[in-house]
Amino acid sequence: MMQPPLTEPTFFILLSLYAGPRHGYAIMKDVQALSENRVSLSTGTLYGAIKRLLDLEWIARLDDDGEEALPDSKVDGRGQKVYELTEQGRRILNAEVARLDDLVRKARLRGAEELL
Amino acid sequence: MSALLAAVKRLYAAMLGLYPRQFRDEFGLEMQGVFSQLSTRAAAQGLGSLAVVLIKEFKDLPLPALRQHWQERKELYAMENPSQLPSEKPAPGWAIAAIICLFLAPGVVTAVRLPIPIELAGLVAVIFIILLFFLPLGIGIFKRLPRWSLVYFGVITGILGIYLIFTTLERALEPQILRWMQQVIGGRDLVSRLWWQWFNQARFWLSIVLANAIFLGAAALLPWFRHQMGEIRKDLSQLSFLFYGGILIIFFIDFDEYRYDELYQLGSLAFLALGAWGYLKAGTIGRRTLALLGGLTGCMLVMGVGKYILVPQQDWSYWLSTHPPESERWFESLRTIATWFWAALAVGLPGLIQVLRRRPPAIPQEALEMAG
Repeated sequence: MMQPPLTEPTFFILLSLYAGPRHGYAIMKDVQALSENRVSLSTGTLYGAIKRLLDLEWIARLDDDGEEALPDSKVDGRGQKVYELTEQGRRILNAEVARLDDLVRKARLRGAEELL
Repeated sequence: MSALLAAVKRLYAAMLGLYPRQFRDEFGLEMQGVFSQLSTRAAAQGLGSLAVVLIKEFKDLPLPALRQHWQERKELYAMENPSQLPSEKPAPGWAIAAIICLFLAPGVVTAVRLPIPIELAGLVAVIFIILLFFLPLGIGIFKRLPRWSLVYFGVITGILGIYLIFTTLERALEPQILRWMQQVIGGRDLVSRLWWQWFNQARFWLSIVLANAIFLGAAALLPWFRHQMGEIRKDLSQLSFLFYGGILIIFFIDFDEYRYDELYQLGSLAFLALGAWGYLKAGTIGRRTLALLGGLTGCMLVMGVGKYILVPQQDWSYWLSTHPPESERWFESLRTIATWFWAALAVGLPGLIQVLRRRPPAIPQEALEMAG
């Protein structure tokens, strides 16, 4: 079955975890940075997405809070859990990147560089 | 500032109560931690930054919470999916087709004049009744009452309920009740007549329910059917399907003695057939019950509208001499609501009981300790 395109927050959350495991606050800040402040997740939206991605098994929760030296983790570590991308999540993200790349390539073939 | 921060953190923790319990247990502490980090950092940049963060956080809280409640509901419905019962098999295609024919055939026969010589009509009718009713009924008995076959027994218990139990009760028990009810709602105005219909339909359905109780009691005693009785306890919508067969009998009692009613009858019966099809195709108890209620409601809607249109075309000189024609038109049409109400109660109640019987998923001990 074809995977429908990812929503922008989902894409950026997966992209954030592509670099390595992170906890919620770090994901939130990374998504903001990756999207150049265009996508700013609230805590409610972030954890709704995390729950969905956990259910889909695209991400997984690490057993311990052993994230190394992520600067944001020092502010308030209460209940912080660390998440990582699963193999399935990695495949989905790769497929989405390939899909987006294909779209851009097609636009280029039409000589639509001025749109890019 | 620190007092303000502490207050908004407490408010945020309280607002997390909007989320379902399970979600809160899983992510509540983490969310509080992230919110705490966000608000502390924003407060360090000034009141304006803090205000921006708080507005965004509190504004974005209710919608995801609502989404989680919706998601949890969906998961609960998925959990009760009876197709996951190891013993339940999907209804075979031929049985679904036969049941659709069972509901549609009486309507088609009255709406379409088949070019059959009159001397052969009786024989053709007998063959049709055997093929459409007795053959599937026999297969149902042979296969130990599978879910699809219950509607056939519902037709039989409907007939027995009305023509045996209802008449027996009326003769033996009801004269006093009837006299008393006539004193209370025995008027000749439209409202009193509608109340009387309400009472009548209640008696019909009481008789049908009694007939079905006798049938189920007898079936439970027979080892051949005992397994299916267990299946009915797991999926009470099977009782709804049993009662659904009785609707066919009630329909013909309620919508008889009309002229030019062929298309309305066919339309009503098509809705009943659609409801039965939806029931047999649906995967969850909730959807099964809704399919039957939908079929019943569509059927009654067509019948009610049909009666309203048809009454002026009828040759009911007696009734129209004792009741004003417009009142008779409304009476015939509105009494369908009483028919619908009791049938919907009989069909909907088993499904509702099943939904109320559902238990929410157990809360993990770890979460309880954290909350405590």
